[in-house]
Amino acid sequence: MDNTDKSILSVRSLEIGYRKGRSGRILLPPLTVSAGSGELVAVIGRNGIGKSTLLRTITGLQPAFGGIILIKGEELSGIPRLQLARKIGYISTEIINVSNMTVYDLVALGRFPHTNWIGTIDRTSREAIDAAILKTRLESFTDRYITELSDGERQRVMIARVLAQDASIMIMDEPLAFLDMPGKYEIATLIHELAESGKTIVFSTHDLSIALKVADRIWLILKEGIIEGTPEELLEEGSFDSMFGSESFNGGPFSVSSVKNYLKNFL
Amino acid sequence: MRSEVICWVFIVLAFTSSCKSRVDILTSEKYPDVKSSVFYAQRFSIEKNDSCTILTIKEPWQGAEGISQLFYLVARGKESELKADPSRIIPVPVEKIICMSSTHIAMISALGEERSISGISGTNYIYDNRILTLADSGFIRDIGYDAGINNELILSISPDLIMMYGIGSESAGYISKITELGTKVIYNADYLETDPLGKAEWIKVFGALYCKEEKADSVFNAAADSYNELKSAIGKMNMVKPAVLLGLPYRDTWFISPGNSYIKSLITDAGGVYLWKDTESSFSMPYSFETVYMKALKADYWLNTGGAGTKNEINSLDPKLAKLQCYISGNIYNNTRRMSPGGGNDYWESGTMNPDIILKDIASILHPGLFGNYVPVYYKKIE
Amino acid sequence: MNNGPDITRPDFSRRYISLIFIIMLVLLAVLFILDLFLGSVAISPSYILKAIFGTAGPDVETIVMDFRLPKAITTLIVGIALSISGLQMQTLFRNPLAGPYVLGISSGASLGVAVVILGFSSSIAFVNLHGLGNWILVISAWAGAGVVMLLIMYISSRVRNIMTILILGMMLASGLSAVVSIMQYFSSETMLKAYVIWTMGSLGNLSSGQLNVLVISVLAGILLSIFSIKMLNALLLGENYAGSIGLNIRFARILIFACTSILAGSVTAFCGPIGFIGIAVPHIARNIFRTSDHKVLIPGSILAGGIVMIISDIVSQLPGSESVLPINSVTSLIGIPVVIWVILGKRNNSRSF
Repeated sequence: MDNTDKSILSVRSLEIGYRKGRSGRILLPPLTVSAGSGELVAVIGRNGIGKSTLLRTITGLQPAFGGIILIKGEELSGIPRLQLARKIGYISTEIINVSNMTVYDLVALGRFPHTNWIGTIDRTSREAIDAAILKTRLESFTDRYITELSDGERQRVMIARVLAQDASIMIMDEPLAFLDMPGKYEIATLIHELAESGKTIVFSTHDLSIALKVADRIWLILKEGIIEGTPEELLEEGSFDSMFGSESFNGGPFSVSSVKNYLKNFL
Repeated sequence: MRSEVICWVFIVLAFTSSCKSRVDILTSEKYPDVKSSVFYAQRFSIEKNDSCTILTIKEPWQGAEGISQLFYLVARGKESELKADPSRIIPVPVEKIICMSSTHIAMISALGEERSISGISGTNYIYDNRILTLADSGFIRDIGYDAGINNELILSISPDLIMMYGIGSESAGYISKITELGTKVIYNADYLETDPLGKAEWIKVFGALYCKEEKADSVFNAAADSYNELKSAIGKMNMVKPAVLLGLPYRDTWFISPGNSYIKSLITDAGGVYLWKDTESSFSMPYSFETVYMKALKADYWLNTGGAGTKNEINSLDPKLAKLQCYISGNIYNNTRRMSPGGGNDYWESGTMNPDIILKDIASILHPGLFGNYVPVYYKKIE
Repeated sequence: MNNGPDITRPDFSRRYISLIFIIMLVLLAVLFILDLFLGSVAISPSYILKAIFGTAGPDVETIVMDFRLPKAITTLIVGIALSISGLQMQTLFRNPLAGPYVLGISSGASLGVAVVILGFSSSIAFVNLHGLGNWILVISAWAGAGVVMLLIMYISSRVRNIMTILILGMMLASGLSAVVSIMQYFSSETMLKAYVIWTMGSLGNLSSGQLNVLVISVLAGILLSIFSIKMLNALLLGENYAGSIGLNIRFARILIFACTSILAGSVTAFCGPIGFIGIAVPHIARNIFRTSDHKVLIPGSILAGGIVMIISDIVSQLPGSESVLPINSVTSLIGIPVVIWVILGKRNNSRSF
C-alpha cells in the first residue's frame, strides 16, 4: 500500500473465484498485492489454490467478485479491451496448434491491439515484431511452422508474441511447465532479462529453486490469503514451510529442514 | 443332449415355417398364362372353374418382375372345400373392403357396392359425394398412408379384403403385420397399366369380387365400345396432329412421362402427338429443365399441369415457362375440372372407369370444334 | 534498426500467394464460361457465342441467357457463400469438421420448407400457392433459418464455452431434423417426393428477381466477412488468447454468427441445402495457400469455392445426356475424395487446429 505510486500493477482486496450459473465460488479471502515497474514476480502456491484464476483475473479475462485491480493507477474494469491489451500481455499453459502458421505469423498476432481494421502489418508493427524475434533469439525460426517446434521453442514464440504486443506488463501462467531443465533455465533467463529491461512480469511456477533465484518478489498464495515479499524474507520467515510438504516427510530425504537448506543456496 | 437337439430342431423348423408364410406373399409363383376374358389389361387375368374363380395379379408393383399372385374367389361357406393356401382364399361376395386408392372407390360404387367400403387411405381426397358423406358420418374410416397405416384400426374394422396399391416392394412391409394375422390383401396394379382401356378393365376384378361379373362387363363394354368408336372415328379424320406437352418442372428437373405410358395412348388416340412418344421407361424420367424446354418450344398444347390452376401460378413457378408458345397462345388445360373441396380429383376417381370421356375431352381440346359445343368433363382451360 | 532478410517474411511466399490467386482467378473465369457452354442440350460453341452477343435464334438465346447464365451465377454465389461461412465456422470452433450447417441453419430452413410442403399442401404435390410459387419456399426456409440464428445468438450470449455452443448447435440441428422426420412419416408419396427433391438442392431454379436478392444477401455476407478477418486471425489462438490480445469475444461471435447465417441461410433458402462445399473448400484453400492468415484465406476460399462449385455443376449436368444429377450428390462425391486427399497428403495437417 505504500508503494502505490511506484507500482504498475496493484491489487486491492481482490476476491477471485469462478461462476457456476447464478452462483459462484470465491476461492480465497480478499487479496492485496502489488508489482513495481521492472519487477519479476513469482506466484507460488499449491495446486488448485487459485494461481491461474488470479492471473486470469488480473489480465481481465475473468471477472472478479470484488475488490479493485489498478493498472498504472487506472481501474482495470474501466479500461477498454483493446487499450488493456496494449498494457497487459498473457501467456497460459494452453497449447496452440494451428496448421500452416509460421513463427512469424504467431508473433505478428501480438500486434493485434495496434493494427488497423484488417490487421495490416505496417512498418511500426514490422519493427516491433522483428525486435521481439531478436530478443527471443528466434531469427532462424521465423519460417518454421509452429507445429514443428519443440516445447521450449514454442514458449519462446509465445513470449515473443507478448513482446510484440508492446505491453509493459506480462502475465505468465506456468511458463516453465512441460520444459526440461535447460529449457526451464532458458525461459527463466529470458524473463529475467526482460524484467531487467523494464517489463513487469508476473509468472506462476512450481519450481521454487528457479523462483528464488530470479524473482525480485514473491506472491505466496495460501489458504489464508496471500503473502508478498522478497525471496529472502519469505524463506527466513518460514512462510514457505507449508509448501514443502508435511511432517510426514521428516526423517526422509525431503524433510522440511533439509529442503529449506537446499533452497537457501539459490538466494 | 438329445432333448436339446430336438428342441433346436423344433425351433429351427418353427422359424422356417413362419418365414415361409410371410415370404409367401412376396414369392414368385409362376403360373402358365391362362386364357381369360380379359382383353386389354395386362396385369390381371380371371379364370373360372367349377369350384372357384381364380384371380391372378401379375407384377403387382414396380420391379415385381415375374411375380404373380393368385387368389381363389369362392362362394361364402364353401371355403373349406377348397384345397389351397388359406391366405389366398377370398370368400365372395366381399362384404367389407378397405381401399388404398380413390380409383377403387369409383369402380366399387359403379357396381353399387359402396356400402362395403369400410376404410380408405386419405378420406379427404374422395370426390364422390355419397362416399364423402359416408366418410364424414364415420361409416368409412381413414386408415392413413404408407408407413403411417393404422394397423390397429384396420384390425378393428376387420375387413374381408384390403386393396393395396404398391409403389414398390417396401409397401409390402407396411401391411406385413396385418397379413400375418390373416387379413387378405390384393395389390391393385391398375395404375401400372399402359392402356387406358386396360385400366378401366379392372372393374372386372371388382365384378369378380362382388359376384357382379355381368354388371362389370356391361359397364366396361360400354366404355370400351364408346372409346373404340371414338378412336376409329378420329383415326379416319385427316387432321393435323398437334404436339402435346405434359406436366410441370420441379426446381431443376422435369419428370417426363415415358412414351409407353397410358397418357401417351390417350393423346395418340385423340389425334395428337406426345413429344416424348418414342421413349420407354417404367417410371417418370428426370430430365433437365433445359432439355425439356427445347422440346417444349414445339408444343402446341399443354396438358396436365399438376398443381397449377392459373397461368399466373405457372409463371411464378418459373418465368421461363411463360416464353413457351403454348403458354402464350393459352392452350393450357388441366384435368382439374372436377375437384372436391378436400382436394380430391375425380379424374383419378371416376376418370379411370371412363377412358372414353377422357378421350373425348382431350380430342376436343386438341381439335377445337370437332365435337361441336362439347364441354370437357374432366378438363378445364387454364387462364 | 536494420534487420537481416531472414527475419522479415520472405518475399517469395507473398509472390507465391499472388501467383496462386491469379491462376485461380483465370481458372474460375474459364470454368464459368465452360459452364455456359456445357449443358444437357448440346449446343455448338459458336452458337453459344452468338447467343451471348445476341445474334443467335431466340431458342438458343433463352437457353443460354435465361437458363445457363443465371444458373452459372447462382453456382458461383453458392460456392462463395458456403466456403466463407464454412471457413468461419472452422476457425471459430477450431474444428476441421465444422461447416456452415453446424449450428443448425440448414435444419431450420428444412423445417420451414417441410412445414409448407408436407404440412399444407393438400393435393398439390408441388407448391404453387396463390401465384407466389417459389417465393413461398424461400420465405419459409429463410424464416426457419432466421429463428435458428436468433436462437444461436441467444445461446451464445448466455454460454461462455464455445465448445458448448457447438454441441448445442448440433443438438439443435438433430432435433429439428427429427421433427421433419416425423412430418415425413405422416406424408403421402407425392408430398414426400417434393420435399426430398428440395433437399437435393437445385441451382437453376431462380428467377432474376430471386437471383438479385440472393446476390445482394451474399454480397452483404461477404462484406461482413471481410470485417471479420482480423477477428478470425485472433481466434486461431483460441478465445482466451484472443481476449488477451484485445478481441471483444462477444462482438466477434455475434458478427461471425450473423455473417454465417446470412450466407448459409440465403443459399439454403434459395437453393436448398448444399452439402460438403463448406467443409471441404476451406481445407483446399489452406493447403493451396499454405497459410492460416484469413486475409488470404477468405479471398482464397471465395475463389476455391467458386471453382469447386462450378465443377460440381458441370458434372451434375451430365453434359450430353438428357438426365441430371442432383447437385447435392455431386458435391458430396467430389468433396469426399478431396478432403481425404487433403488430409492424407499434407504432412502439416496432422491436426488442423
